[in-house]
Amino acid sequence: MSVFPLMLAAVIASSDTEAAAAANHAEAAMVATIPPDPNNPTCPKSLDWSTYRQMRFTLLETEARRILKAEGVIDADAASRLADALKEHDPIDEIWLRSPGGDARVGNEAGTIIRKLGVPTRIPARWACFSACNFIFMGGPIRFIDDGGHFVVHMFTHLSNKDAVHAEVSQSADEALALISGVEQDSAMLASEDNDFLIRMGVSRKLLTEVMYKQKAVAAGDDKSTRRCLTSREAVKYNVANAQ
Amino acid sequence: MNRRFPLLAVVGAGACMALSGPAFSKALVVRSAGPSAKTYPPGKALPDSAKISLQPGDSLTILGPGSKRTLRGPGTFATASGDALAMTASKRARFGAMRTGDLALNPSPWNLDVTQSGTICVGATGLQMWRPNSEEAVKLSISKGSGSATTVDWPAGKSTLAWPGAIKVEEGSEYQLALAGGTTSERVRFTVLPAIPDGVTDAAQALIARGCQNQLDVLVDGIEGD
Repeated sequence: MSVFPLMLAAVIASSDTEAAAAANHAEAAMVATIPPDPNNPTCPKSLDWSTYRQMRFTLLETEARRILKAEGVIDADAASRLADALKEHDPIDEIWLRSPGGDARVGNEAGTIIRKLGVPTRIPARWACFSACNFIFMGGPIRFIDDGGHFVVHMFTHLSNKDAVHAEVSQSADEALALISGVEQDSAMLASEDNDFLIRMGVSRKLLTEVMYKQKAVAAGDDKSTRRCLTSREAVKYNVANAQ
Repeated sequence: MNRRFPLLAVVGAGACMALSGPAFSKALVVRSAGPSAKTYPPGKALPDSAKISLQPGDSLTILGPGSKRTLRGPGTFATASGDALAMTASKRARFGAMRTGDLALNPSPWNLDVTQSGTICVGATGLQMWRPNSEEAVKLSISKGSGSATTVDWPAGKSTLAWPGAIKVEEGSEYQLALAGGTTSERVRFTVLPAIPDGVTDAAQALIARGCQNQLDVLVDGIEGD
């Protein structure tokens, strides 16, 4: 397996959303005919992040390589099953990812497991790695995003269970305050954990402040966007992808 | 009764079921993870009077009268829904930090999701295929072993399509499914049920007994919980 480490692209120009959308449109035109998502113009309308409700780990042997496919929602038990799968199928040459994300801290935990074992990660063509999956992917010491593969980001949220939120805040002002207070505290903790994770993985922390945390996870008001697809140039700029 | 998809879509053609009433008098473990998973494996039936003891890191999903509940340890919980202790203990989990997108929802657990591998429980007739992304027209290749492949044209805008009548669905038959342009193919193995179960818990039990995990996930996720 040839690996060509990439240098950070210091000359890369601004990474504003419009530029990212234009670049992604050009990339998308080369690899697929799926139209862009009107609510998330940097991304295609449909993304292949698997429909498994719990992350599935499957061995794929191809071209003399042993691949571990990690597909589906990152559930509460996904990190321990990943550790078991890596042990059962050792040695693994690469981990291929497609996932809509899931439990934020489990994603970080799974990425840490991968880094300890030193297994490269890849997002193959047409597959999408979204949200908590980003952190599993960044756990790979060598990270590939193939042409047509999608690294898709947004902010974490504590409000994904809208029914539960509505039930809580409708009880009383005190209940609402308690909920907000808890969310504030845990958000600060998780943001600190994210920063620590990126430093350890060798990924630019600007990925958080310039892209990931600027993209809301929950649509509100006129802004219906909930995700942001990185361009190939941005993936290199932030050292998300470090090999090709 | 709260469901994210229509009740009739859950059951097979001609079948009818309800989430409450005499047919739904037992609680059933449908998912378990963590240290106590061996004590509460999927498929374990629990009486209403049972107390469930969970350790830190445990997560247990049960189908009970009218809904599903997910319990997270540590704690001791009553099987019967509405237990105050359980509600308090699961509050933290309801507002846990998530990073996730919405999954496309297969409208019926009895549809074959062509993007998944695994054992598929089917009735004797009427199998429908389903795909999560329907924007594009696509060709689906279905092959058996090293034999020749049958190619099916799947029109743009259609998410479901009938399984080709010329390809037999038999107990133990295995097929490889590949959407054109896909990175990998999927392998499915059919197991034929004598009849599609009427009730949710009966359906869940049948899916667990035959290892049809993908369909169990669709069934469980289609039921609103606490």
